[in-house]
Amino acid sequence: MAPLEPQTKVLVSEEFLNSTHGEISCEECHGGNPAEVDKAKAHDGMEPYPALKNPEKACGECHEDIVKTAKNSLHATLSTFETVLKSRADMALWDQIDEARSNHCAACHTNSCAACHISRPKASKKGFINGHVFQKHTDPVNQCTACHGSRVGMEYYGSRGEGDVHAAKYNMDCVSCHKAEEMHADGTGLPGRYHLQEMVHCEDCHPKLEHGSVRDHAIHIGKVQCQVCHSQTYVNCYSCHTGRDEEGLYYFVNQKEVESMKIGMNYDKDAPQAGYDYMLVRHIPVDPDLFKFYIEDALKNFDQVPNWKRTSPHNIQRKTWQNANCNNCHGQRELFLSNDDLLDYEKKANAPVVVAKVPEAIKETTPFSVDTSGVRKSMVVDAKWLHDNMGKVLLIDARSEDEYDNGHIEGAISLNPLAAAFRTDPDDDNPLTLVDFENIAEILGSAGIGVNDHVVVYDKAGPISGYLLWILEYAGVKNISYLEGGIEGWHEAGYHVTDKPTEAKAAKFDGKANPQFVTGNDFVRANLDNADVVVLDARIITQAKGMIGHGLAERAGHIPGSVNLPLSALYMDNGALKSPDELLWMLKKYGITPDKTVITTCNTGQLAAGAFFMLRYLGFDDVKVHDDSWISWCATE
Amino acid sequence: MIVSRWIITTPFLLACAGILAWSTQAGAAASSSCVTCHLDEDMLTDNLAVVKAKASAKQSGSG
Repeated sequence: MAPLEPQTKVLVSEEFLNSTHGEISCEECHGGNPAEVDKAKAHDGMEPYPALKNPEKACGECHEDIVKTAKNSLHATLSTFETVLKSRADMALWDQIDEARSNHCAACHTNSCAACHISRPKASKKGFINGHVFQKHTDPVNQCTACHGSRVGMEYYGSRGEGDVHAAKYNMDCVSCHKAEEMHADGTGLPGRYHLQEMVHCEDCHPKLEHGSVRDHAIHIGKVQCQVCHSQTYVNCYSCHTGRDEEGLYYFVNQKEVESMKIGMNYDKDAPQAGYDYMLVRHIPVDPDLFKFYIEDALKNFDQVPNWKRTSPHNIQRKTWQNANCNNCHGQRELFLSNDDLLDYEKKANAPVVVAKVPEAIKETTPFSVDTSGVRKSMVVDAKWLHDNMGKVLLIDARSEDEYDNGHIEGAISLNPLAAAFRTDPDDDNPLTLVDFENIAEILGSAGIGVNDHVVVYDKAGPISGYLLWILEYAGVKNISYLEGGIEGWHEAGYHVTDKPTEAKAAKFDGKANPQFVTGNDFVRANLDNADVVVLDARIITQAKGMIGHGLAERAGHIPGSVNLPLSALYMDNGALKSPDELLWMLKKYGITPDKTVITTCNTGQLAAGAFFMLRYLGFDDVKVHDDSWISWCATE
Repeated sequence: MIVSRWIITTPFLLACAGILAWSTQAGAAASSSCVTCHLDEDMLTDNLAVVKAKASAKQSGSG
């Protein structure tokens, strides 16, 4: 999230002055010297966050009942964060540990009334979100997901996976479920955050499902956490280390992030409504050496608490791959946490979570199959295949030049499609559309790409490769492949990288354009009511719903009748891919099947191109990128 | 008359004092000289420099 402009951060609105809270003078809450003309003197002694320092005075005079508990709420104190840290810590060293915690963790993990009701929180660089107007309804984009971003926000609004059905279908935001009673509840003395009595549970809105018409509810409720069947994959973080750099700046470094799903045993059945045996668990990035920069052996009791922890991914779908068929879970050893998933130092801590015996496969189930016969398997290769076929392919690194210089696969040529001039300028009359084919051919020729080469493309996350692969297919390159897992997959496979650049052998590119892979507003408009044509909007849910706009678009919104499926549903984190049968099954849920013409669209064509490649890989014949994209559509429609 | 007698009674005077207090309190932020500056976007733009928080080059991840 880009920070607010400095003046916007402190600009008060007329709306605030006319509101109930505008009836209180500024200095009554903030102090300072309003009579002074000089800026410094006027602000002398001013408290920018009165609710953080003294909630009883700032808010409690009118909201006494709320402040009484909210000042001890989990958002205000993060008490369970400290409780769990203490259970791992050598308490003789607590003062030093607490100092390290304050320098790193508490920089984000602190909150006040204002961070939910007036301003953006500290973690997203602060500032009034609506001219200091007090908002009863917390803003999901500017406030909740400003802190709960990389996991909750990205999952919920489709920056990871399909997004959450509660957002996509029912327009629910954070406070639709997490109401004031939960947010303001006193969290003192809890052993963990899931022990808050006021916490929301699925059953609050979906009661007595075990008596409903869904057979699997009757079978699983009470034994399995709802999310086990209704979540998508989610990100797991590994080994956070903290420290200060040469300039004295604080930092933390996560070793890696991995998108996956693991079912573990429930080790904490004492939490409210948590009597089930199986639950989803997420790897949290705590590490015995988390504070090693400050103190040796700070977490000497690391074994006391699992670091594969209960999780509630915010990416709920009614239909998921797990519940599509009994045997997508039953008998699937890799879906359940095993000893092999654990690092050496965490085996003891996670012993209660490991699933020793996986539920057996069901012998008689409803027949289930997905037709994958059309999948163009050669369009995706893995690290081993590339390693074995090095020299037979033309390898392209689609990342930035800096990333290429820092280490790339030996023999790879650098061609970042975002930096190459494949598209018109943003201030062009027809912005960010493909340039003339001759210019595209010239760029490809300069990179040494020939129409008959087998071109393999990689990047870090996947979609940038997809974008370049669309251009290559449009330009007539016949044999193209995506390196699954990208550069990180290459590292994971144990292969080396180099910082020595490979110079491209420039040649004349003599490919012919495939215009059927590109389309514009007229074709989209003419097919809005065509049942054989699907418009796939690959943007995140907040953009497709018009909650947030794009810098180049005149307005926010979506093309009528388009189907929103965020691109991240097609690429996992770090460029890994789900199996073709799972992807085809998911697409079918949205009415996107290979027999249809699919137009992929987004704000500028980049995400649409990433989706194009995946559909082509999965066997779709008639796929077109809406090159005009939303920034043009919204200006004309 | 009942009305004229009520006008000079204590409850009436207390009510008047309450209304007076409320009316002087209403719009208190608007009457504060703080908002002279904090309502003036142009002035704030001219006077507030962009302060880029310096982050460590080693920082990774957003938590």
